[in-house]
Amino acid sequence: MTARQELLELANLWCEQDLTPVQFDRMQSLLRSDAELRSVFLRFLQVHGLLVWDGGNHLSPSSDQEDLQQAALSCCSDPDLILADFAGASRRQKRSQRVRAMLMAGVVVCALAAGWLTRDAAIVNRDGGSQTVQAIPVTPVPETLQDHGDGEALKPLQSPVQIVHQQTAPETPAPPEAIGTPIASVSPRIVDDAAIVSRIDKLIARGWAENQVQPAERADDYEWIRRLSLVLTGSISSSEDVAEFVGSKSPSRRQLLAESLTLEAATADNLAGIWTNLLVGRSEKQGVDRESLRRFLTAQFAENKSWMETACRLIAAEGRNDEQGETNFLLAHLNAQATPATAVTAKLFLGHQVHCTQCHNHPFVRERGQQEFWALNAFFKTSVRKPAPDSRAWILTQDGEAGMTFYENRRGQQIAVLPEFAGETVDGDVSRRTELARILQEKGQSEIARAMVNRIWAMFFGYGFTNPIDDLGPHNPPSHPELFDHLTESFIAADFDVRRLMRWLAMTEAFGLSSIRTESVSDIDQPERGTLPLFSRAYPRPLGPEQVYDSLHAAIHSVAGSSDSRMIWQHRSTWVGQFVRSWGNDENEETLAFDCNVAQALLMMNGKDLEQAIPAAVEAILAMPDRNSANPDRRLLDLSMAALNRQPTENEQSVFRTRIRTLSKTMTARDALRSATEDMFWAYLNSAEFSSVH
Amino acid sequence: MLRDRTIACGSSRNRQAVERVLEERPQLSTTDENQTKPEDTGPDEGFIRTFTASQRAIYLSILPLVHSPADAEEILQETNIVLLNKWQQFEKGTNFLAWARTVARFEVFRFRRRNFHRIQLLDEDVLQLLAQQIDEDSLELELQREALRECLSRLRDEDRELIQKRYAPGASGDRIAAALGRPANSVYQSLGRIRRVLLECVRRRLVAGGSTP
Repeated sequence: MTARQELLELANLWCEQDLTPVQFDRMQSLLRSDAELRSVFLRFLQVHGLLVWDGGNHLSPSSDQEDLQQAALSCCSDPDLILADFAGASRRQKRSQRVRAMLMAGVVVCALAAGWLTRDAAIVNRDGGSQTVQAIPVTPVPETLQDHGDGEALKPLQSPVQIVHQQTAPETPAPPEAIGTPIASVSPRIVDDAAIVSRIDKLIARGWAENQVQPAERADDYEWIRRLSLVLTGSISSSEDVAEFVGSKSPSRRQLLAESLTLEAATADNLAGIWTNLLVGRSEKQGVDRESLRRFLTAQFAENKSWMETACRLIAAEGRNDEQGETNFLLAHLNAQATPATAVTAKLFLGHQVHCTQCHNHPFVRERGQQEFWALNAFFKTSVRKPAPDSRAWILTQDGEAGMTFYENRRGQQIAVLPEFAGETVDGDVSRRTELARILQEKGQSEIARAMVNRIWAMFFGYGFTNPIDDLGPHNPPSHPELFDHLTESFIAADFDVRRLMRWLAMTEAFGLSSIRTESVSDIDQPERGTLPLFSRAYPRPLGPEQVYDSLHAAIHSVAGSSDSRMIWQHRSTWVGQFVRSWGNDENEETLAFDCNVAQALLMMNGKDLEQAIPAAVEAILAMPDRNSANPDRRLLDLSMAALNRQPTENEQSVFRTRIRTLSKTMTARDALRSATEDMFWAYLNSAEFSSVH
Repeated sequence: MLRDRTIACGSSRNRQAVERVLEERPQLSTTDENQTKPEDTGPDEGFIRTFTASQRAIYLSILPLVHSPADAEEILQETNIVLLNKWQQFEKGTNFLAWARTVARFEVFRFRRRNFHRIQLLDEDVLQLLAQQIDEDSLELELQREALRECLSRLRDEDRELIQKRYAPGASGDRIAAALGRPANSVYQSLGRIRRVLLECVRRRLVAGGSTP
């Protein structure tokens, strides 16, 4: 063994803290002996350090957004990679049949990709890993896809929640009505929507002017409806809706669509899904009824309850978790002296990152000290969870001990605190979390509004005014301070009307821009490289797993013309669950190892559904009497509208025709057509374009 | 990631160290000393940005000298305290990282002296040699990181998974071994092999693209 090898072996054991003293001495003497060895040793430890720092996080391409898109891109631009990927897949899955289909698809994709990729030379890389995934999770709920948002679909979901209200209102000291702002829908007192939108446009345009940036072209109707649909409902649009929208002559068609989409049940479901994930995570935890929480949120969003009310009900929740869905949020976070409850509440509702201040003061923000953390914590610490006597449900109550709670400061002293927030101390025989909700309504309006505005903005644009979106404060100045203030004030004035906020954003000039960048934009407006976002174009971003699932479903649905009810909520959450890893840290965080590589996603679909659904859909298309002509263009139009919500490009048309010609040499014309159609559909579904919000 | 490290939660293990630093530098205020808090303005925005952006680089200049992530984090914390405390001494336009690394280096030595009784910490003379070597090699961090990313993607699936498990937050070699039902030694060997592969791969990539740095 050479000295180098020996040293590396010792260094390896050192990293694992498994060296004997003798070995350790040997390692040191090797290090003393030779500069070359020291150099190798350092590089070895650097690799170790890089891995440690990133917490294994950039390891799987999956968990890193940057790699995500790289993977999606390279998948389309590098045939070797596709082959390698699929070869791996076939080893694992032994499903040569499907792999063959996908290989075919892959080859076609590569031919197509060139077209789309040159359209936007770089699908943008994004930084921020799991953070970003968190920032733009879009989660619709399939049940209602069948009913497509006519309001009927929601009824069964609403009623249990309403019944619950009636049951518990007399029992709890603070009935929900008293907790939240009582106004559920839009109040008449506010500003006019058009003025708000034009102010947003003005402030965004000022940023362009100051940076001498030429904004991108206006997005065409195809691009716009697909993006809006993904943002609001969490799924691409159906072919029919696209055709209807694009065919409409009305000059206000975008406004009409924005209004109707925000009213759709799918949008409420999507928001509920996003917030369920934010509040309790994607993984199932013992004692947490995600489904019940989701029902609660769906009802809140469907009825467009004020965000303040929803936030306060979540914070002040009490009762059985199968009946009071909102209790599940805190039930999930009462562990570890309720420090997760404290940190997650501050992060999600106030946009404050406080988890570190449980141990030490915030390094830059004076008012966020250890004392403040534990004073906020005291609101939650006395809450108690216990099993319901007669069932598997859990009950959340506030009947813990009253009085001071304690924490240990950095000098090891025990410090007593009373619950305190925004300068108001709560003591005596009161329900502490209800008091917190009251204080938030009185003094926390601005913070709650800011946090939500930033989050919804990021949902629409891919970036918030700050990065990360839930770390607000003087240490993290926003990209557009005046605009951020303006939106926050407007949102408060509109009584925290989420639907209205979303309509404002949908109607902005910035949201209506194309993702294709112009020359001048490319250098300056690149938030993915760490510059401040100027929103001078739509930033492409990968779909989240729920979006992929639902968009696949929508595409197949569009092609087949019928709904397949086998894809249900349970199936989707199981599927998404494959990508989730819990960290068990003080925020009960989890990461999502989803690389948005649709090919992989398809393979992981656990098969039968998709394996059968796609050929079946293709059969359906071929069987349609008016489409059973020899004209391949018509069929290609069906496919591209279904999968990409747009018309096929000339390049795609020629690729498709060539494919049919090639196949006809070895099979009958009809089989060639079917095969080519199926390959084309796979190709579209595997494209980077399909797997991005752009 | 960055955020977590920047203001990483000091464990109780840290407390003593921090406390001592506080005693040595009474001007550093914390809530514990609220009543005597002097009105200093705190670091300005530019400083904070640079400071935050440099965390990884500082950490990576510490870790090779101490090998244990927990120790490295503790030293990083201490370094940060000094940096924040002395922010006014930093001259804008000069190399922040160089300054920060000097401070970090100093903290490494102090840490070594403070923990003189601990085994498996490198002797001071070795530290000194390694420190010199770091300065000579001036390893290009970002390039390395880029290279490492690519190298990871080239690993065999099972190897990548093992690395991923090993470096997941809170994980350690022996715990993984227990979880996998493999003897710790064999897991260490696998890890060593994969690390060497990565090392070699990173080196090659850097040489290949070596004209740039």
